[in-house]
Amino acid sequence: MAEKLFQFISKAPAARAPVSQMVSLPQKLFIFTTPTVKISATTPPATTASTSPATPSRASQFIPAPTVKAAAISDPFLAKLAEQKTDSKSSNDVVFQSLIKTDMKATEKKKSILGDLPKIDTSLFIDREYHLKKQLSIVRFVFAGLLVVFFGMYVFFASQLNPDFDLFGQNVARTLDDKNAQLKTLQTDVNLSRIESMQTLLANFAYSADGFLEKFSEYRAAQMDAKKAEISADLDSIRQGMYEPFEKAREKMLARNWITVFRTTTVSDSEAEREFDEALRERLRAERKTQLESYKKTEQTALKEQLTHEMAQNFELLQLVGNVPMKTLLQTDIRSLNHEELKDFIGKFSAAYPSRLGLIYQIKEKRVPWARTIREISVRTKNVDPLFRTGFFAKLGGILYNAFDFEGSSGRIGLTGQAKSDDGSNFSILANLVDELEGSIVFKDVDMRSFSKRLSDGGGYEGSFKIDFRLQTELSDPRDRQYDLRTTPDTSRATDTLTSRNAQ
Amino acid sequence: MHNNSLSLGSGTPSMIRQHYYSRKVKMTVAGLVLLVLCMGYYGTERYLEYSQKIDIAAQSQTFLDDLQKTQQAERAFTLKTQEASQDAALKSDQELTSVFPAEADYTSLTRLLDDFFKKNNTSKNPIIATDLQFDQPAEDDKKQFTILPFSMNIESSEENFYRFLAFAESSGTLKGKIRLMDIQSIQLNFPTEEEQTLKKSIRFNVKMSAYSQKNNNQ
Repeated sequence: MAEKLFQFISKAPAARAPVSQMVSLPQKLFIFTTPTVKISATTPPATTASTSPATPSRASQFIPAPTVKAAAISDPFLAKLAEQKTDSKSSNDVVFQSLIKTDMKATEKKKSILGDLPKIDTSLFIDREYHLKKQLSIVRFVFAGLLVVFFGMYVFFASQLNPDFDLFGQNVARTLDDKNAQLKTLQTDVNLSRIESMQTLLANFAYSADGFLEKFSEYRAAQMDAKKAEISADLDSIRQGMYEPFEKAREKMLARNWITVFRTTTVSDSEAEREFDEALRERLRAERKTQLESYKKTEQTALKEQLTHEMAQNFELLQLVGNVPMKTLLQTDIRSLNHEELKDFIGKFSAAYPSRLGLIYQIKEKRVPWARTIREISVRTKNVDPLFRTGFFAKLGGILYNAFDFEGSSGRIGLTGQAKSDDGSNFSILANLVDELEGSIVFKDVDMRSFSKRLSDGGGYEGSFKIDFRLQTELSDPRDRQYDLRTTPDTSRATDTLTSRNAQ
Repeated sequence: MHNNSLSLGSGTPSMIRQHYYSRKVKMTVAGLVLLVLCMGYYGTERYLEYSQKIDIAAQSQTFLDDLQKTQQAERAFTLKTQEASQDAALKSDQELTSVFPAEADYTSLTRLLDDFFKKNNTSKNPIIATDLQFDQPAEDDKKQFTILPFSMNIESSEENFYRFLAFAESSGTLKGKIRLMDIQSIQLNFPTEEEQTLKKSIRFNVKMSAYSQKNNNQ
């Protein structure tokens, strides 16, 4: 487009081209030395080579400065024109002046009757925009600054509160974790010391308790009051030795074994207690592991025995950790218990703390007292047959046992024997025997459904029998009450029963 | 600022540019307020945690010092208690080992039984074990101890029969130092009346258990 314009200008005389068109051409086409183009404040700067014709009013505002450097112009036409202008400056001025006047006149003719368009003072807008830009810059600067501060804050807290962040050395979280670990280890050490002393104290108590139980069995078996009083004094003496270790063990067991200060979260006391109990168990298991490895490696018998003993101790310690039943039992005031109650208490103690002595006690408690059981059968049989085992069975009849069969695991007892009578009352004798055995608090579920008898060669009637029954583990049985011997007129039988009850 | 010149051409009317800048300022201020709120919340939370940890770390040192003292006292007490009980513990341990040994140790048990029969067997009151058989040891249901089952056929007088029962029942006391045992079953044949008159022996078969500690070496 610019080239076309240039060709048009170069072919036509300069006077034919309107000034407005010339000015609107791109400046690079014109080699004016002083392109003093006055632009109205409302006119935006031309950035494109617009070919739209300028209005006359705009054209009238241009004041051309036609001083052209001839030497710089290579085009012959323009060079000639420049020469002509240089030579006849005044004539060109006249031409331009006339052109401007003509143009102004034409503009005057075209002016609206309303006059010029009102001009808006946009300087205010420019100020506002400037201020807005400034505000925006400030706000953005502050925002960016705060972001930097925020980031710094994040980095600081992350570096301090994350225990794994060790770029700048040990931080607060790591310090706290280390302190916590030290506290936990130390508290576990304290707990271990306490439980070790408690084990020793309880062993002392259990040792004394074993002596007490042995003496107590003598006390219970003693019939004479004087003997009982003598044994009771011994029991009191043994008891004195039991109190101190028991009460010291209680003190150790009930001591607080956990700490809560280092926590940032809320943990209940029971949870904290369990946590420290578990830490102590872990410590003991680790010790046991070491002992076991040493045991497997060593070939020395003495060392093996020592390690076996240590492992047994370790096992007992593990039984004590977090032992709630033991904790409850240790709060008992054993001084206020009588001998019988103390004996029962020792049973509960052994069950709660399965140390070696405790296990021994449990096994002993489960044993069937066979001698007493056989004696009880003998006593009950004598109640039915007063001549039992007196050597008169062949002549006078009665009951004779041939075989006993005792099964301890099920508590089943089987008796086989013979019954003999002159008057044929064999069945009644055996029925009495069944009731007598059932009435004992030692036996229950007595069963004999088959009765038989025949004429004896030597006179009278005889028959064999088999009775099955079981040991009664319960304190009482409905048939015991139903067959209450104390209500019967036979005082000897009542005495036996009471004796038997007392023996229990 | 360069972005503005890019987004807003020079030909954009001034009012539109003002609106644009004004909106930008408002949005940025809103973002700024939001940022301040977030910073406030985050900063407060983290600072509280930080200061709490600082305080707790300081307190922990005090507790550590106290615990050190407690540990020393507890250790001293434990050593004192163990030392005071050393003799009794040694004695108790020896008695426990004989009553409730660490191993099943059937040979020692055999010697113990044989010793009992030898001591009590007299011409007037005989007692002879004619047969002794041991089974393999096994742990109890709760795996707390080991059981060694064994059985015997015995011929004895009635008196020695009761003595044998008493021997089994009194086993397991520390003072007695007799290996802990238990009679599981008895099958007993009484002599006839004539045999009783002639002081004939009772023949019985007894199944028993001897107890020992659980093997902790596994």
